[in-house]
Amino acid sequence: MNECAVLNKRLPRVDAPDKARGRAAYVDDMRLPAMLYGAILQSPFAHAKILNIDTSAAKKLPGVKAVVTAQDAGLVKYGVSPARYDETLYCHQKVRYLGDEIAAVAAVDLETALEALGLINVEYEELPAVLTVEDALAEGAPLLHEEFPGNLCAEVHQEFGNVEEAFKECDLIRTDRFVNKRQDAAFLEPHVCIADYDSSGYLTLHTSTQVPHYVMRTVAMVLGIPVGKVRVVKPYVGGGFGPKCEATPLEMSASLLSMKTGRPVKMNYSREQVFLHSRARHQFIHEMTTGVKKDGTLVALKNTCHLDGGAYTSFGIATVYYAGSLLGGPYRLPNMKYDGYRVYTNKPACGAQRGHGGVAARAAWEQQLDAIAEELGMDPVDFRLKNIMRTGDVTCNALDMSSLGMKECVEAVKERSDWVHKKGKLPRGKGIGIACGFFVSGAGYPIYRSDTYHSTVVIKLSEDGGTINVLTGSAEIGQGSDTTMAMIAAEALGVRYEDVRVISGDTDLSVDLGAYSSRQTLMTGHATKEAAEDVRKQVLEVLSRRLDYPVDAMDIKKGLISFKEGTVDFSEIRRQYIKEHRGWTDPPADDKLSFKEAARIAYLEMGTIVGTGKYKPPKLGGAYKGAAVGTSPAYGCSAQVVEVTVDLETGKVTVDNMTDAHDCGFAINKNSVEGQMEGSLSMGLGEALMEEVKFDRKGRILNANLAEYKIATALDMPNIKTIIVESHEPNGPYGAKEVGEGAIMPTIPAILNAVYDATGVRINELPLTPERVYLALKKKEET
Amino acid sequence: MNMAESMDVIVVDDDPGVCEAVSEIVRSFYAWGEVYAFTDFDEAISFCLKRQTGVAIFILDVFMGEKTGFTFLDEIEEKFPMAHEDAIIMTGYASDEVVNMCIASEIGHLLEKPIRPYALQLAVRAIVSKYIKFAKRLLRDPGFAENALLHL
Repeated sequence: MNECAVLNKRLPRVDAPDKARGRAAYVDDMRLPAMLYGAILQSPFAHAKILNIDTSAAKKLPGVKAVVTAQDAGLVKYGVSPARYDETLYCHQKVRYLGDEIAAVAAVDLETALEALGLINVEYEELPAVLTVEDALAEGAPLLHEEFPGNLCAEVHQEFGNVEEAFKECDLIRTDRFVNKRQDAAFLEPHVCIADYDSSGYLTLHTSTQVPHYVMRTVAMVLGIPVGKVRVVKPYVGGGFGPKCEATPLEMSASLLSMKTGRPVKMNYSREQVFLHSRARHQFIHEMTTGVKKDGTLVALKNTCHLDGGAYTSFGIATVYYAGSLLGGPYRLPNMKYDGYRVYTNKPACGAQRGHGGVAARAAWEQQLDAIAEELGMDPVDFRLKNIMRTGDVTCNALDMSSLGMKECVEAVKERSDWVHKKGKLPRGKGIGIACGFFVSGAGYPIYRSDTYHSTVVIKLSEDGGTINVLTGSAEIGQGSDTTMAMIAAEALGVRYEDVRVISGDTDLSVDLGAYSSRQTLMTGHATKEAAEDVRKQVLEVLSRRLDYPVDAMDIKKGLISFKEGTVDFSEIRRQYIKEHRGWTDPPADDKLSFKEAARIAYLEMGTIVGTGKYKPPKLGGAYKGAAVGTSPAYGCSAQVVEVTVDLETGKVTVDNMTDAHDCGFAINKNSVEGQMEGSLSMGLGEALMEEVKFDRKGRILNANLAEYKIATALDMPNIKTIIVESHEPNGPYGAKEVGEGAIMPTIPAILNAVYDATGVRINELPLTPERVYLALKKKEET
Repeated sequence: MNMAESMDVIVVDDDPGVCEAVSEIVRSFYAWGEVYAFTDFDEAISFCLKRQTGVAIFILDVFMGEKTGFTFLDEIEEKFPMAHEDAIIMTGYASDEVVNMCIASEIGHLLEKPIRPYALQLAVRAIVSKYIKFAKRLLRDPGFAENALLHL
């Protein structure tokens, strides 16, 4: 793909000027006339029976307009996966974590709403709580949900090939246990929404979300409103990273309170409430056994994983599958067995976070592969290259690598990091490590069972023909999808990038499943391309009729019409356009016919020019149970080399250099690709070195704020080399595929492997805090 | 009771990893008493208030949920009159605010995490040596000892 006028360049983002100038409006910037403010009452206990709720005093407080509990909201169960709807909007019999929602209030101001919460009298009978996987699985442990004995939310058992038989053929078998810690996504903008239920029965919900479509469906289902009467609008969003991928009690409470009061209701989560709502990365406890031949050939992997899921399922069904399925690649692995268990505990529910389900698994396995390479006396790079998958390979669990530049990525980071001159040659306290990973370019199936399109896009030309309006329900959450769609539309239509305007994040505009599973470039991109091609076809067909010139011999490039054969007299069209244009300030001055002129002429003949596009993946994956999770039309992949310094006295790890190569297929906007790579590295670094949500013995979060919950900042970031490895993805628009999440996969294990190289100590628990590393170093000294 | 034997070290930090690492560091060089570690603020207070002796060395995190190392010292001060002087505060970031709080509380030892073992050793030693000097003089100077007893 080398003839693009717009794609594969470094273009400024369409949202950059507004954000740079402070013009970008977020939900919290919005005010509606007669707007009320809402607040939610949350449980002070991790596990307790609700004996009685008395709201009478709260209702009498001047300024309070509505108080709602489960009696008002009903008991419609909801969640993410219909296979496990286990939440109701408000608790009615018991609370299952410290923070569980019990009631909500709308009042004339937030202070009054908060005061009213204090007047709601709830009688509890405290129950014993289970706060760890071990406690939850213990015999006789208190149950969170009566219908799920043993506190088992979900379990997965899959086998591809025959692992036990395969182990018999192995020369080396190694088993390791690996534990990460629960995380928070730490996005800058806490959840916030404004619900407005009008007198005609239509609900408009402005909210900070990654998935307007799913929020629309859930709100409609829980509150009993027809889906067609719910409109969800996503203004600018200050980060999501996964936990904003589902409808929240905040959104449903605001909607319910607006229905009750007939007034707009605004609600925010505080930072502490963001931690309490959570839905972020699970704690995973992996035990992995890998068998290899002495020449380094991978033979079999047995992976057992327990997930600390918290009180509700959220995305957990998908998460527990992903923790196994995403180890099928990027190495040729003929035998794989996976047993996964997601366990309910009396803590906030975990959900999806960047690299959904696969990040801890990848960290565990890539560290183990490094250890195996060492035991075999092989260089970790050579070991990986020996087993690397290539384009056209299919994993043992039926994931089709329709394009895969994994080998190219490994070779690129090896060269650019100067691996050969550093591996094994650095002084004690300094180390270098490598790891690989891959990720889906959009989930192959929607969250709910449906034949729905994953994306539809409408492109509407302005009346003067000069502005191309891309209307999409897709969610720009800071990752750059609006820019990507503007570029794809400009390329497909043949117009200038600056003439494209993207209006997104509104369920009234089109269907789009949203910003999750790194899906928008591929899926919304396909629909955008098709819509632009539809518009192009309509405009050129009108032009063809007017000029009596074959459509196939016309082209649009950089906003100008070109004619392949002969000289074309378009003076009549121009005269008509100028006549139409009287009084306007931008008459055509070129000697070439512009797209703008052609589009205006098309409008005069056909009315508003509207093109539509749509996309849904073909049937993907195998036929086994759970085969849908992990399927995708395409897979991006990454290799990273990380260099660290470990202070051997304190255990502090400093990441000095990161070299990252990512195969994103055909790079739409190189700036955005690099931005996503750098963002992934930053999140991975934080997860590796510092991030952990901590609880006390009562189930209360100890560090529910950004002072005590440490994340990587600009000051923690090392030198980064980003290398874009381009392949052609046959299933992607223009050959493009993901970059949003795949790039985080190798970061943690590359750091772990570098720390081992620096210290000779393998650490099987995250994060690598100075104290954890210090204790591991000390233990090694003693032994 | 021998005063030196009762010079225990009490570590309080809501991060179990920090508690464990700091305790390990102290145990590696400290022989004048036991090392006790607490991740629960209230449990640590209760432990201190039940002790027979009114001296100890305190190694405390600054922020522990809604509590602080300074409030910890305030709560045990009646039982441990020298608590502020005998405390070492640990912080992830020695901001002006934290430094000023130490000065205002007459705390002379502030260490930034990650803790350097030698720095912690010197701070503990500085506190314990005060009592060792006192004990030695009691033993060597009967007049001083008699005078000290009169002031008890």
